Amino acid sequence: MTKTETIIEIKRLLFQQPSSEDIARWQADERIGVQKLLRQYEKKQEKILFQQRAFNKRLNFERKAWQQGKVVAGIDEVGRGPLAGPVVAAAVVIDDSFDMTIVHDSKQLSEKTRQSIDTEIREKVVDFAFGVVDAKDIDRLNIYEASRVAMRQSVEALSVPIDGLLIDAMTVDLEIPQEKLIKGDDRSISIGAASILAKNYRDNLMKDFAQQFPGYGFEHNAGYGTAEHLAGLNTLGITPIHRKSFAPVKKFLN
Amino acid sequence: MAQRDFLLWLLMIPGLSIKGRYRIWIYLKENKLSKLSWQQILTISKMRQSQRNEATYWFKEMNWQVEWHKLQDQTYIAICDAAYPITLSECIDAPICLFYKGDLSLLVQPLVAIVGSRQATAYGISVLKSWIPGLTAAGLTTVSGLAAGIDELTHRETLKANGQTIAIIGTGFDYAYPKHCEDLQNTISQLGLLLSEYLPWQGPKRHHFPERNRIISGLCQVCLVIEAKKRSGSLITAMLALEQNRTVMALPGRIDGQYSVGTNELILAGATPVLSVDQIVLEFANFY
Repeated sequence: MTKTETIIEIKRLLFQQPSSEDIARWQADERIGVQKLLRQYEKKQEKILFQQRAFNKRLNFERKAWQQGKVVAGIDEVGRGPLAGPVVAAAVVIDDSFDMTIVHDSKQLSEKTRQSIDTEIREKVVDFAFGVVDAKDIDRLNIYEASRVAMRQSVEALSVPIDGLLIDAMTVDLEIPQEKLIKGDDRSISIGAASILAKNYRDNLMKDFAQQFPGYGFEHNAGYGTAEHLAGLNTLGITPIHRKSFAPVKKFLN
Repeated sequence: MAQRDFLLWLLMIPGLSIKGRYRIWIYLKENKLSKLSWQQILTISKMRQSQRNEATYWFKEMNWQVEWHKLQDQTYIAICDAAYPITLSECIDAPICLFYKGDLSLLVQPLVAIVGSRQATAYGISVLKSWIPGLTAAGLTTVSGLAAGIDELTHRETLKANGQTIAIIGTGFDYAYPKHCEDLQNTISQLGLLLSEYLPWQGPKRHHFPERNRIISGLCQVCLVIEAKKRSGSLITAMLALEQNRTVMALPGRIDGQYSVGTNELILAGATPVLSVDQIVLEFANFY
């Protein structure tokens, strides 16, 4: 008769690909500890399946284009709300080999995770590019127009020729078919990937600006109006990267 | 009759629900029509048979032209307008017409909805008073329902901090409910933005309040719940916001306090517990 496996052994075996016979055997095991491990394992499998389904659902717009032999780019921008720094847009082109299911929910990612998958995204997409519009142009144009310019720049900087754009809730000043998606980064993997790259790019820019302009906390707040930032404005005044046209900044102009 | 006038006129039809109006809008959009015949209105809205007779009586026999004339003088945005913001169209059964007074451009600002109990405690009041200046200074606009308690405090504190605020009311503009907020309603209509989905002469009805809550949660990017009793209306707003993929943040409270039961349970259900105003400001980095 085979020796009964210890619960620690079962835990380790569950972590490596268990066979369906193993699972069946453990399901018949009456020990509470084993049942608990199985439930955890099932939950984990459900989560993976859910992520895969969510990922697949968010490829519908891309697939529609691919079926027609067309190439589309997903675009997203970040940095409309901060009181300082540029607005940054990213354009991303993927193909059906892109498999990073973690991209399906870009909003839920912690900063650490977001930064850690940046290189992998850049390697696995077909093409990506950025557009950056600084505070002076934001003051000159208005933030909405500046965002559109940044998005246009990101598209123009792509190397591969594209037939259409998928954008989160905006249209861009380009003669090209555009699909304006509501809640875009939630509905398209291309836009989700663009959103991650844009956020990382901008956060890193602001970390560099923090070296140049210390005292505002740019390395923590990316230019958003936190207490530390506002305190810095109060004691140090504004910097060249502050958006003078923004109401919360105006009261610090002298 | 232009499409937006037709949509406005729909608001007058008795028995035509918010859902029914939205169904009509979708039909118009998909078939590229600007208006419908009376029979189409009844069928496409899926109005209940019992309501149809009353509605048809109103249409054929009543003198609705007088009220229609008055209505056409109101300022409103319609769902077919270019100015209708995308965030509004994400509402469940998006409002096809909204009467407004004040600065419409506030609709596209970064918006934090603040909702809570109609009986605020000293704790909720003190937190709100200390946080709102920080939200305003960071460039955020507050949205709330002009109800007594947390809503009212939100609007008053925002105005005191020279910030922007949007109020979405559960009555038409001819009413002020609650009465002691009449001055506040007037101020917001001049310095902020006042919105209503109801005809000017419609008063407060129970079902109006959950209806206008969907607009509050649809408009915002972040929904902050300050205090809530068990089974309170603010919880409905928060759940709607979650469904619409907004971030819901809740102020944790004492577990033995009846006004924190709702907020604490929201946190258990997945809302983000919020401990500082900076957390709220930084949350907007996800949307803006």
